[in-house]
Amino acid sequence: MARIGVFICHCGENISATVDVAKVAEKAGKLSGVAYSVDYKYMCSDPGQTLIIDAIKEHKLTGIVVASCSPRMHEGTFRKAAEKAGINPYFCEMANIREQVSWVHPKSDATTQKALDIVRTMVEKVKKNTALTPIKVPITKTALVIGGGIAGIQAALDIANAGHSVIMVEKKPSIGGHMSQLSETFPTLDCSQCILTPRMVEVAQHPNITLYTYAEVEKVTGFVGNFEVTIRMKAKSVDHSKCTGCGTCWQKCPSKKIPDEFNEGMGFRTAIYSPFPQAVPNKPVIDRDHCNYFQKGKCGVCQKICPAGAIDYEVQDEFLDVKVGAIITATGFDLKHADFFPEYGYGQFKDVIDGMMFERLASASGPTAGEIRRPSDGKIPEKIVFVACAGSRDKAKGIEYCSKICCMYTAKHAMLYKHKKHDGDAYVFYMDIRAAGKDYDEFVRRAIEEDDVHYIRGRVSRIYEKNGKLIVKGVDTLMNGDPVEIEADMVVLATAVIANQDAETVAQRMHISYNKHHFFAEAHPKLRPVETNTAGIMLAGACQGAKDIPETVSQASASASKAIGLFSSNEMTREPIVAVVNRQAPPNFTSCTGCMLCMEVCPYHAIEREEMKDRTGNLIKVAVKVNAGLCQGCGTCVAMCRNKSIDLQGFSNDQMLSEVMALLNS
Amino acid sequence: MTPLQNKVAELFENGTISLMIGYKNAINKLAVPCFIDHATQVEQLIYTPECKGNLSVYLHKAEIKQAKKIGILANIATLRSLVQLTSENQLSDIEKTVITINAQNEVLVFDNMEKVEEYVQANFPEYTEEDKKLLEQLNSMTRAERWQYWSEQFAACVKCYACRAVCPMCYCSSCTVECNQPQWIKVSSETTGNLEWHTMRAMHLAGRCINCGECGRICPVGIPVHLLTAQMNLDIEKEFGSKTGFSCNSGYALNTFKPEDKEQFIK
Repeated sequence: MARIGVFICHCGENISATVDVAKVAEKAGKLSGVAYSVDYKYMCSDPGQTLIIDAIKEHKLTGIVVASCSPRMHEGTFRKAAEKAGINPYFCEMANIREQVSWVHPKSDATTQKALDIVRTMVEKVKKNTALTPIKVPITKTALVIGGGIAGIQAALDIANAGHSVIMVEKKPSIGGHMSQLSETFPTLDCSQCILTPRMVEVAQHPNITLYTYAEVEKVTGFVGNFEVTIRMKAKSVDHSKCTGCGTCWQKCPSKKIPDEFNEGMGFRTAIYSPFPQAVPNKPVIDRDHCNYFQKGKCGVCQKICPAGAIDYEVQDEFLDVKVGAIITATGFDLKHADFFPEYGYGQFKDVIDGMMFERLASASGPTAGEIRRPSDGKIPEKIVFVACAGSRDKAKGIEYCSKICCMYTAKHAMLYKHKKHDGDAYVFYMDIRAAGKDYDEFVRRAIEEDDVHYIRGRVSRIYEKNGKLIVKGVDTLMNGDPVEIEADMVVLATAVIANQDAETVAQRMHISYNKHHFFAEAHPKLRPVETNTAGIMLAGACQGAKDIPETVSQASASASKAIGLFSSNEMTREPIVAVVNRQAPPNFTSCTGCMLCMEVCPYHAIEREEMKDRTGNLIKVAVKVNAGLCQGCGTCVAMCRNKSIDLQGFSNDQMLSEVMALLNS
Repeated sequence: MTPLQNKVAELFENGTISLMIGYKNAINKLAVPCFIDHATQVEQLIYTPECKGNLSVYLHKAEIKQAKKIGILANIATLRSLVQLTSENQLSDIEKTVITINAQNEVLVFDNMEKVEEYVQANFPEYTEEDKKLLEQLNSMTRAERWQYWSEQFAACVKCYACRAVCPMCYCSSCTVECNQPQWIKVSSETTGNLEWHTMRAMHLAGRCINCGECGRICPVGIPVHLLTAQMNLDIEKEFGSKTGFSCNSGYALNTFKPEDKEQFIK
């Protein structure tokens, strides 16, 4: 016979102001199966918990209902109290009479009645509760970092320095990401490569980090602590264990006219190439789509001249299976290009460029060796117009979000230009200046006040070419909306930050969610900003949304700390709120018929096929089982199962029906 | 001996099958299922227009499964149920040989499901004229009239569960109607409980029923229960473009999402 205790919390005045708590306690005490009932000002306080513990012991309670706030707040608190008093913690249930009652209704008898109704449903549920034990899952203490940009580098180094193994996968031939392309960084104007390359080298040399460049994650299965990942090692055609990185091959390669991605197409590279001088690893790969040998079947120059004999044309993509405990997704971002803007000429004016192209022009390692020369004729521009918010915050263009980094890098670009061309004119068209970071506003003020950059608040409506000049037509909203027309030599568009083209595919491969712009979704926008909804998969950097370097690095360290936290014990404990497939005595074994419909609907891939065999190994029945490590207790499979073979522990059909019946029978 | 009997005798003799499920004559010109396990018994096998029963229902029986090598005489509805059951992973452990007789009276033997699928797709059956007429009648009613119609029909139901027993898609070893913790559906026969039972059965067969019509044919009190699932199939075909018993690996319309589906909620 159940002996249930009901504990009604006042929550200060949060509940007691609208609910007659004493009356609820009194009436609850008369419910069938309730042995004890009391109200108290703060149940979650120390004396409140002690009250619960003492009542369980004194009245020999078999289960308790705490009527207070949402279980999201204090379920853990009260379950621990129940455990301390010697009963299974899963015999503690919470009736939410704050969010669901007192906060949403005025003081009245009906409000009190509703609180009592909710208490009654939970009393009926507790009667059907069963003892549950937390699930223990072992942990593989290796992290997978996807993406070798600054986010991935930081996360990998943090985890490796904590003493755990890290596998880093980068799809390009070198790590470094977008940061390696930048000239200087705001708000300090220090050289991007100078601060980045030491980190890149550290990754390559770290004993705990295994680096796979020119590789992509092909498949992710498993669950937190126990992921199984297949990595596709794209064929490099160069044996990096033999290659010394001497560079003879790319000097002699006859295919020299391939647009260089690292320089945003403003320079050329060869078919066998290393993307930039400080690349890590600084060993080449063959771009088979542009290589004469692979396209036309003849050439073979690099193989003939390689002193180390490292070139191998026959090598194929290889697949590597690894086991990891945590995954850090740091796959980065992409930028809209000038061809996205019909009003600015669809990218047909060579001197209308995007921000990343300007970075390459300003960079010492760029195609102009750091001199800002315009792409069309190589002249140094006398007048540059910078257009902020090109695409961003523009609902009509389908990008309503702020790209966050443009205000700052546009100020930086204008300053870099003014520092190199003292008598040049720099104009910035902006909507608002968003410079809310440490030393950020000072940086923008410096551009305006010390470097004499002309800031014009307004949008640019059109850009067209006339007599070798780019005519920029815009408006100055601070001058009564007067039209402005500037004859510029070059225009730099601060184009919108967008998700990578393959972000959706990557997310689906990882089973993580994403928003409508394909940026990956965090588990909670405020309180769990670096975790995804899939336990064990964390986010770092701009794959989650537009971010600058300091924010990216902070988030990378945060996600690393999540992985390190996970790795701090040998096994982890999970809530036993998972689905179970029933088991029966032979010859049935289970009522599951093996139709596998549940397997298809499970968003966590937690349902596995199980073959039941007799002692001699003959197959008797095919059914399913739930992998408790993967199951998140969503209950979709329960709804799908036609003959109720699956039930959710803690929220069983029986418990749910008891709750409903309690309401209907009031 | 008929060509069918000859063929089956040959299959027994060369060891392809060890049990044959077919039809034999019964009183009043009825055709009833028969199970033969030796070539000498093939003379009782018949195939006439009366052979309407869906024999695939027997493939779920443990005592039949023991036979290992099973031959099954299949009309088009039975062929469809074999295809549907294959898509639901229910026949993977049975070694079966499927025999059918086509419109030209030729005996066809299929040794794998791909061939069955091909045949079914080429000879996909329409709804019968009678069913079409009944469905049209039902659809022309108002909601209230339709409710009235079914309430009257189900009032007569005696909950014998013959509709379930004869259905090849009702293969669960224990049915929801038998769950008693909690008790989902009342055991006794009364209008509301009967309605609950038939609604649940129709929901569980939505997008899976292969329109053999056996449930309606078998009902001892003459309720046209097959119309419920027949209508659901029409709805599902209209909404999702999927036909039941059409492909061995089509997936289930109600639990799969395809990028081209019109609903976008999942994105």
